Amino acid sequence: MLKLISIFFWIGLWCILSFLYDLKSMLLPDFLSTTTSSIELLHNKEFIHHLFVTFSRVIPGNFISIIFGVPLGISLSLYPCIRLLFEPMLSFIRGVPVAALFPVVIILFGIGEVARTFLVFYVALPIVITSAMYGAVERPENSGRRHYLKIHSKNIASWHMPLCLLWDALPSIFGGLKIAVSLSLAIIIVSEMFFVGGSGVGWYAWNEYQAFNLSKMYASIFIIGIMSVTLNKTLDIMKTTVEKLSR
Amino acid sequence: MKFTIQQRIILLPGFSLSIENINLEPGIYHLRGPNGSGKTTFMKFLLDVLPEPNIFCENDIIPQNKGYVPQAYREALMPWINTLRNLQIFPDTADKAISMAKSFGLHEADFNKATYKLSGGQSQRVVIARELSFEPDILIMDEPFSALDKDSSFKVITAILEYSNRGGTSIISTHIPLENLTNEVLIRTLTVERIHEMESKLCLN
Repeated sequence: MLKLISIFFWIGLWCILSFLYDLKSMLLPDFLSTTTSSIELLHNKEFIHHLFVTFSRVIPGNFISIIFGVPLGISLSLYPCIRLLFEPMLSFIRGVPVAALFPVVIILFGIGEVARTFLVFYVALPIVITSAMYGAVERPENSGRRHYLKIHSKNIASWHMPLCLLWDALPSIFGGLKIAVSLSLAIIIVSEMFFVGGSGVGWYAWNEYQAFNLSKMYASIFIIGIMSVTLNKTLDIMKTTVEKLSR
Repeated sequence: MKFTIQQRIILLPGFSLSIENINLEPGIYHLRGPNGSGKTTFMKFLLDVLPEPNIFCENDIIPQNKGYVPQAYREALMPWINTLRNLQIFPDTADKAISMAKSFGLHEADFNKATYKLSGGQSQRVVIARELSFEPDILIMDEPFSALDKDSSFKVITAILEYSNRGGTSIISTHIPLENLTNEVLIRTLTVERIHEMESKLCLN
């Protein structure tokens, strides 16, 4: 209920500001015209195609980072010495802004889809590794089940222990993926705007800006925001489902 | 199977537990002691899950086949499989575990549930049924009656008695006087006495 009130509050504030300050300008469009343009865009096949292209660019890099990052992170959780060895490198990689790597990525991979996938992978991998690592580390609330599995290690199927580690790490992994997906989306949209590509919401928004179709530009930004919130909410639901099943 | 532990001192940060020579025959042992005296430490020592690595001596005779019902009984349930699959976790004794769970009052409808949907009492009975049907050489139970009503507790203690009559050794840590649940006169006592704040002693009475 509070969330709904909050949403209506911010929309109301937007409407009031646009009414008071005549915001048919580059700074901030009014809510109604943005909403109308958004609805028109969602019926526009060309825009839907660009939307699909943008999200399909986000997925492969994140998927590859999960394939590599989750097993590596869980393995690091088991061996504190190796974890201490990797932590400075992970912190450093996380600290280097991915935008600073654009020239390097262009040299290595060009300006096509492989470059974009690598950028997303670079952004997501340290987040996934760290989330999996800290999620799977043994602590009082998860040590009981691990002790039980250790006691019966000769009697039950061997896949229960790795599954136990993964299960313990899942809430943290979903939390990390929220951050990774949001950052990936940002980096993809920037790359669409400034790399030659000809597709994607970033390219579309930049094109509309250059043609001074500002309502469509803001509408595309608004839609991206809604889609990002939806993705985050999906990951939240997955996280709370795992937590509920673990009760 | 006989079970022997040589005299030793278990050292943990801020706590030590000294153990006299213990020879455990098949049967039921009631592990008693005040809160924080070291009962769980002793159980974890037997199960070899203390933070220190294996601290058994060559003269110790410790059964390899151990069963465990933890105080936080949900920790013995795997949330990624349903109740039925949890009962079947030991393939050789799966059918026996299911029939024992039914004898403890669980129904077919409960078996299809996810483990989080089970009540505390149901969860505890699932774990106990599974461990007992596994027929370990030694079964360690930490507060196994905490979520059970009197009727269920009686059924469980009856099953434990049958298990010990077949040659099993069970060590039960509980604040409930076991004599209230059974007339069995051969329940022996392992007592953990607190010597002072950071030291306790365990002996077989």
